[in-house]
Amino acid sequence: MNSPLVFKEYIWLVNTIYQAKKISLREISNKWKETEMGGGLPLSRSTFNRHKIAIEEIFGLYIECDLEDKFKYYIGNAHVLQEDTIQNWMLSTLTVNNTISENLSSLRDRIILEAIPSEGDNLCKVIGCIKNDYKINIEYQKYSTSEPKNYLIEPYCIKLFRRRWYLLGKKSGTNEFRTLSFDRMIKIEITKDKFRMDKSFNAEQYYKDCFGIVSGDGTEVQTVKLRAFGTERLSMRDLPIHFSQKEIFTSDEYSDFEFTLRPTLDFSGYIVSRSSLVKVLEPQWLSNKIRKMHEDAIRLYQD
Amino acid sequence: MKLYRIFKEYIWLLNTIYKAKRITLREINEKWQKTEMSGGMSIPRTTFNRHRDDILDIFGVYIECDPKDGFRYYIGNAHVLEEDSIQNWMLSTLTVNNTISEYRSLHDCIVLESIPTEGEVLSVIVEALKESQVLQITYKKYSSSDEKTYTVNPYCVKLFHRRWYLLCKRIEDGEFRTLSFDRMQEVTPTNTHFEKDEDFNTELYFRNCFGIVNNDGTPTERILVRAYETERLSMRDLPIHSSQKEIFTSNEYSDFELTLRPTLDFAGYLVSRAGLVKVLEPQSLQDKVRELHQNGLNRYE
Repeated sequence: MNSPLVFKEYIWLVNTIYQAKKISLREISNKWKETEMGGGLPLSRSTFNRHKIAIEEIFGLYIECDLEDKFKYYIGNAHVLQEDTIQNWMLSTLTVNNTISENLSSLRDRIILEAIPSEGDNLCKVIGCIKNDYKINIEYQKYSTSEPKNYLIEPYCIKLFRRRWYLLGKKSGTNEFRTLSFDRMIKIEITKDKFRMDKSFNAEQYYKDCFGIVSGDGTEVQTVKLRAFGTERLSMRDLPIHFSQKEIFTSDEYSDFEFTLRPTLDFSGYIVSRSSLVKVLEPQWLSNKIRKMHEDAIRLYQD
Repeated sequence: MKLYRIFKEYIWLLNTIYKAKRITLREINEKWQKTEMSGGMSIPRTTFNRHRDDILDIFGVYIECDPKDGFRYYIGNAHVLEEDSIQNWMLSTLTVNNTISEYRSLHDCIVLESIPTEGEVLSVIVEALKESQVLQITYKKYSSSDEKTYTVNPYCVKLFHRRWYLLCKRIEDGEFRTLSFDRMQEVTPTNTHFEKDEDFNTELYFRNCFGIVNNDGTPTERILVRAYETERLSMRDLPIHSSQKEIFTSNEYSDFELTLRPTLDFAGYLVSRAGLVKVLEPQSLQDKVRELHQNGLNRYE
């Protein structure tokens, strides 16, 4: 049990520094004494330094010392902890693991979680191809009761979205991006055929313009204006539906919000589901589309 | 990275036995020797036994040996790895951590979604669950600007769509409530203890829910929906609720039966499938969905 214990110390240390933003070793040590792990003893400088190196290796987080501010420690690349990055993912899942694992047996049935599929070897294989710029041959079946298709894909990035893994890649020889879901891949064949990755491509930017995972349907990035009524606007203020959301007008009855994104079908589905609480102001084609979706649905009940 | 290695070995061992269902130590070693971690060496029996103990400690998963079946190893409580249990969560997140940590250099090519850790709140609540401690929670709903303070008996914590919820019984009226962690303004443990209702079963409680909404008084009902075109293929692959059954299939559509509480979030889901899903029964839900579409349409008149 020794090793997992040290792991806990790393996580505690990262969280403590991250929450404090800037903190001296003495302050860290005082907090440390109060924990069960510390058991009343201070955290020695040599242990701290060893942990610092391990944290860099395991999490890719740099704990830096500010010589001009009383030798306080801070996380040099803290910005990665605010994004959908590997570092944030590892730290957040391990922190949760830590909190709950101590009480495993007494808390059975009292904590319900959502597991993430690990996709076995496929995830590893695909990441390996991304690293080496190899094209992949994928036999893909969109639905289990439809016909399988073959794709030759130049892999660009993988993304976890709503507990599923996706591969974003270019159809070989074209400029078309495709998003393929890992759980629909029947066979993955690594070719020894190399491709040249488009250097201007930026995965983060690419997904910033998306509402969800749908991206390859040709919808252009554009400005969308929505009007939210009643309590909907309070909830939109608290939980923005997209990172580009801005409140541009407020009255007693409603608020107008502006977005920059690709209004793909999943976005339309979301707006339709809000019924009379959200109205599309711009663009006109989207407003027509939402109208038509409501009309089509009502028609189903008319015959 | 040495420390991390031992963790990786546990995860590898657990996954290998879980996938194989039943496997001898010799077979485990054959697989082990093919991995990079092993460096071609086998796992001595003593190390294997130590790993078994650690795995029980860390994951709460039992690796058992069946002397009547050629001393094959198997996971004694494998069912916990098939559920939304702590064990499955830990194993799956650590397995993913394992895979991706080797490729940290590719950080731009892997986009993840993190789970909010909710810092202190999660540990305070987990502690209260363990100790059956009454909690005082100051809460602000999304759809309101007022704060309210509740005194509650905590029953269960649930992660749903990457958000944490507490299921609790409000002391003032004895009603069960689901509170979202990110709306809690303040959580204070009290020194009062409560007796948990022994009849209460978490799994049963959530079984008839579509999502997390469960306290608006909607009774459980039998629901019949018709799905058209590709929607039915997608519903077959990804059932929208655990009770879903396909009861009729024609060339154009399929009918699915569900048993759940048709709360507002469920109606909202059906509305979002505009034109692809039609509610057949009950009439009340059909009227509701129709009305939601009509109201939505009226905004544009």
